[in-house]
Amino acid sequence: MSESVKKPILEVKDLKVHFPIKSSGGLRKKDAVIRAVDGISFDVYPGETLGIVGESGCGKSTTVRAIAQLTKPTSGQVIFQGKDLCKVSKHELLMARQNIQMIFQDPYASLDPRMTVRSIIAEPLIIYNKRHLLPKELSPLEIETRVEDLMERVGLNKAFKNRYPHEFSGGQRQRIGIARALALNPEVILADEPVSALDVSIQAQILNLLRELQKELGLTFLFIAHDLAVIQYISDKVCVMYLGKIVETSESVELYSNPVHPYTKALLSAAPIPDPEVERKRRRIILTGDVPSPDKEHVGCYFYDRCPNKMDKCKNHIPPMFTVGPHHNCACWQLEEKFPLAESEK
Amino acid sequence: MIDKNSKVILDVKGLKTYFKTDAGIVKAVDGIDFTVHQGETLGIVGESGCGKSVTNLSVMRLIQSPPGKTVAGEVMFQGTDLLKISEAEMRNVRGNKISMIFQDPMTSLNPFLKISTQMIETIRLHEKNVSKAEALSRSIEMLKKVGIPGAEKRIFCYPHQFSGGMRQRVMIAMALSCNANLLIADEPTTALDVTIQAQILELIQKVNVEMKTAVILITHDLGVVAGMCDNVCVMYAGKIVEKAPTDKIYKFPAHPYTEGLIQSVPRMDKSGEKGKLFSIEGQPPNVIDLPPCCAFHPRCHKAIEGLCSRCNPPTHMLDEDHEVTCWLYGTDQEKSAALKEADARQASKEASK
Amino acid sequence: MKFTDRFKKQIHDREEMHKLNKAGRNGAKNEFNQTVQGNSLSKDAWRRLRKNKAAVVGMCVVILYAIISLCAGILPIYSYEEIIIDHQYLPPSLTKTAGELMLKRQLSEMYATSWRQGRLSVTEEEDAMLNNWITLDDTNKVWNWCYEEGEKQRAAGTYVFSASEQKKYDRLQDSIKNDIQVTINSVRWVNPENGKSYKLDNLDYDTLVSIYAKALGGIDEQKVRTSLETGVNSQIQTEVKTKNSESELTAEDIQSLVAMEKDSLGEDGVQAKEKSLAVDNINVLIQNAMTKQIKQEIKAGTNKEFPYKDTETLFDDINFKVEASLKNSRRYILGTDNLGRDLLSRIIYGGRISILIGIVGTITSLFIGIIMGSLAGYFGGRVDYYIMRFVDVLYGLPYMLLVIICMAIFGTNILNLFFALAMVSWLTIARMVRGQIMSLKNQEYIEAARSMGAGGWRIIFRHLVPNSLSVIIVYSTLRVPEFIMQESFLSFLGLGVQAPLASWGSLIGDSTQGMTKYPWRLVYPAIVMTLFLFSMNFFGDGLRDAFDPQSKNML
Repeated sequence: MSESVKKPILEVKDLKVHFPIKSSGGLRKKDAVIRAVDGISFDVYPGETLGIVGESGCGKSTTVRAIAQLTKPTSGQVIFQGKDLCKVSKHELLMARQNIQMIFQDPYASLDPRMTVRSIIAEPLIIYNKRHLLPKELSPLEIETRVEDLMERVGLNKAFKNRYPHEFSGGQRQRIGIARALALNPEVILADEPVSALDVSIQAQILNLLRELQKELGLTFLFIAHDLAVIQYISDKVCVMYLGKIVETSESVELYSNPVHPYTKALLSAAPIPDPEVERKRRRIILTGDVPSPDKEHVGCYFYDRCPNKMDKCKNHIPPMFTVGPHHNCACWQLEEKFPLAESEK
Repeated sequence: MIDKNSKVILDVKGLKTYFKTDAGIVKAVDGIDFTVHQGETLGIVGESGCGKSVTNLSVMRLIQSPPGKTVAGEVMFQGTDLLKISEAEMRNVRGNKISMIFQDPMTSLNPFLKISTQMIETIRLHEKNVSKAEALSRSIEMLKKVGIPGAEKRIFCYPHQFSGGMRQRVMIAMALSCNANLLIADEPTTALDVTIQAQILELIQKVNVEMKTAVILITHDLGVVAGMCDNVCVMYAGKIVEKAPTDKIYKFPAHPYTEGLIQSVPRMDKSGEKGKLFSIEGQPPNVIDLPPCCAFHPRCHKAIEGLCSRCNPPTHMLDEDHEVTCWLYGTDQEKSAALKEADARQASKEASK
Repeated sequence: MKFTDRFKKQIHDREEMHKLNKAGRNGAKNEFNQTVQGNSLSKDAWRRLRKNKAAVVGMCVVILYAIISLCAGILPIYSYEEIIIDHQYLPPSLTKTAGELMLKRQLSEMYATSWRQGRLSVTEEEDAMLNNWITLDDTNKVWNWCYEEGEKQRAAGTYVFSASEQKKYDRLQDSIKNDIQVTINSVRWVNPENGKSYKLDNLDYDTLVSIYAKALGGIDEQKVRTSLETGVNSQIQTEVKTKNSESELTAEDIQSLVAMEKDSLGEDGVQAKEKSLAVDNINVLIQNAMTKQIKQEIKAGTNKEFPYKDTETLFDDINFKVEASLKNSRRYILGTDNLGRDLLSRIIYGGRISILIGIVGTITSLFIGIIMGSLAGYFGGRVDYYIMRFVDVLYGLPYMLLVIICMAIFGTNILNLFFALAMVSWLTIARMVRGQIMSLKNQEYIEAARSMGAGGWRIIFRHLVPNSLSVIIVYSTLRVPEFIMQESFLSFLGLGVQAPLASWGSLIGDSTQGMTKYPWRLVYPAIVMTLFLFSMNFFGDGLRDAFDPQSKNML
């Protein structure tokens, strides 16, 4: 997983996704805007897993949907294979979509309840085959064999291909979703909280499966979750998001041994660890207040209200990213004296 | 935290709750026993479908009568068997002596009524001679205790004006407003963010310590249990497979299921080791068609062939407080006796065909 | 690849697919020997439906109706072609034949008249009773009583027919015994040269003329041609007169119009008309000849079993099938209407039309409604706005009035009826489909489909509409009765199905005259229609319950 001189396969530059709230009755002076994603940038290198972690409302799902162009970004660039997906034509987007596929969160809702497993997995192949966009034209028999291959690869008994999704358990449905995502041989897979809705034992199976597939097929993952332990296990690099902005990004080992941002620290201390001795010895940083809603306008640091180490400067100025270590950036005014500005900010 | 000599508040013996469905009889809870002492925090751990919520509802007699029914067992609460008293007496117990917090705070509060109305209703239902004003002031006290800022004003708000974490706090306040002896928390933090979860768990711990309320915490999150509970029961397919104090269960898990569970959770603090996660094979069992005898044997990495699938595993006490139900700890005598019985049963079945 | 190679590959592929699919179709156990129940959503719905007894009964009744309607042609009921006007207004009876009923009616009438004239001996109270009934307009009771009293007295010998009455009676008896109904079909002409048989319609004009001439007894062919020409001329004249019935036409105007008409038809057209006239006349000749022949055979005393079916030849070369039956030996199970038509067969044929209207109307409205609803629901924004405003405007128009105006303008044939009914009936289904699609639009599997590059139409018809199917099915089963009711209403007003076609509504509408005297004309169609509507409604309710429960919670 070394990426020393490689070029990133996916680059996100200053992505913003704002949803306008229509004012009711014209009583408001200005239309409020929900800033779901408010200017984030990161790079993903081929063959590695980038984890994005954050609480609900921080914009991680929106980020992923914006990258997949399911939601139109308000501004910013998503550069994949040299092209900016936000500005590309419909046909080129279709071509690019072959290589960026998604796995969804809810295994119950992400499969069409009226289609058999076979149809679900074969659907991307059929769509692209009809438009003659596949490298090789596939006959129905070839599609059928490919579906069976995929089912075996994700660990499903191919005898089940004529069954319907509601006859499977959550973990098996997620496997169907993974098989569907792999149908077109993509290079990048965007996984939107794929294990959050699963039981603990099934979660471990799916995580193992994803790692195996990554090794075998050389996939690149963009993994979203809110469970820190899962992110730590599966990711090479981690971004921590808060209210639509990235507050810290680093390699996963580094993040857990040396968190810098106060939010990251609080998050790590709040996550429970299944070991009573360790739990007893921990000192929790409990944040005050609730997660604020993303429609307020912020003049200063977004985390100002809940930060235990706030300074005056934080109130009125948004902190830029500072480089704390190799591949470790953090956006906090406390670092101003000791650390230089990050490359992207200069 | 418990005293060795604190008395037993709740003693459940042999509880069985079955549901009748189109597809067959679902044995949601199939014979479980546990005890809760005063001031203790008991954790019930299990995955979805293992019957932990149904246990809970059975204790409170909240199971809908068709299709479910508590068919056997005893629930001794402070000397009375809750399964045998009348509905009116049970209403007196619910909310007053045993209170519950549910998983989804959005749906457990009535969206049409103000918080004040709901809290006052709870108090006045159980203590008839309390005036409205007094009930109101007690409610405001409770809200302050659970940490809601500006309680005097916010008590007159509607549920949708609170966030998820706040609503859960309101639920806890309501649950504690009558000084209950036992608090049953059914996955109270599953729907909440991690930082809010930490706040709520801290609050429950405070309640447990300060007011000496016993807590039954039902969850699937092993980390939560490790931090909060004194004793742990692990459930699988309607039966308790292991019972032990928290320390012991995490250090020396006896049942293969517990072992598998603990090992399949990724650990944040052990970031150096990144091998394959241990995972329990297979799927959670189909509750209508459970595997015979030990329900875990198809997925067990330590199953004894020919034994686990034919005979029900015995319960053994590994220590004075560590109980496990598994053939791995059965004596040879028990094994041979059980095998003989199983052979006899099979022979008689074949003879009758 | 050459065509044959490609074809071979296709066959080979199909075999392989079959093998693969077979492997997947067997009931599978998962890896831990726990059987995985295989049920699609429809099978689950069917299982739930089976438990709802009313719905199952409704479904069986509906299927029964459908089968009867489809097989109407082969059921043993009297067809439309055999209308006997003498049999009008016969009451329903399972045992008595038409003849007996006619006799009874005639006798009741005679006895009633003789009571009036005073020849029937009645007591004073009976007299008062009868007068009372007359004032109450209970003519049926009067006749029944007179009939019974008269028969009693005649049997006892205290009452004797007058001469005219006796004559009427004898004539009636005679006609009952001897009147025959002769039907001719499959008329074919055998060419004496090559022995092949042809249907009359397929022959050319000259052959027809020669056959006709022979049938008439060997008249000169030229005379036949002239008579056909004159016949066709008068036909065209009648048509012209009816077309221009408002304006006053002189004889010259008529002549010129007739000439214009003939020109527009052209020579072939005129000849075709002459041909059909010839065919009709030949058929009539055959029928009359056969009738005469059979009557003679009866007089001569040969025993003929009725109903009588045979194949005969006449005029040397013409073969046909003849069916003869005693006219008055028919049994009308449900009675007859004002033209002597059997009510049972009218109900069955009418049922065909009513059910057809219900189904076709529903399908049309579904088709339009689903397309409009899904466009509005999926694309949203302006498309949705304009479509919904259009729907709102149409909603505001009074439906029945629209239909009536439509029928009045475009004429009252059946196609117009379908069009008028379907015109504004798609509104509700459009709204329902739109609502369903809007709620399904944000489901994750739709997003997944979009992320795979599926276009709008694929998503709508492959994902969204099949998932709205439960709503659509339930709605359509409840819509069929509505359509039938609307059509009944139109027929009642006289704008629906026109005679001789019947529908349940028109049957009920026609029966309102003389409702008290001939109640069976109203009661039976009403019962049949009500039963069908109830069954459809129960079935629809059952379907709604069957599709309702969340499939997520299925075990």
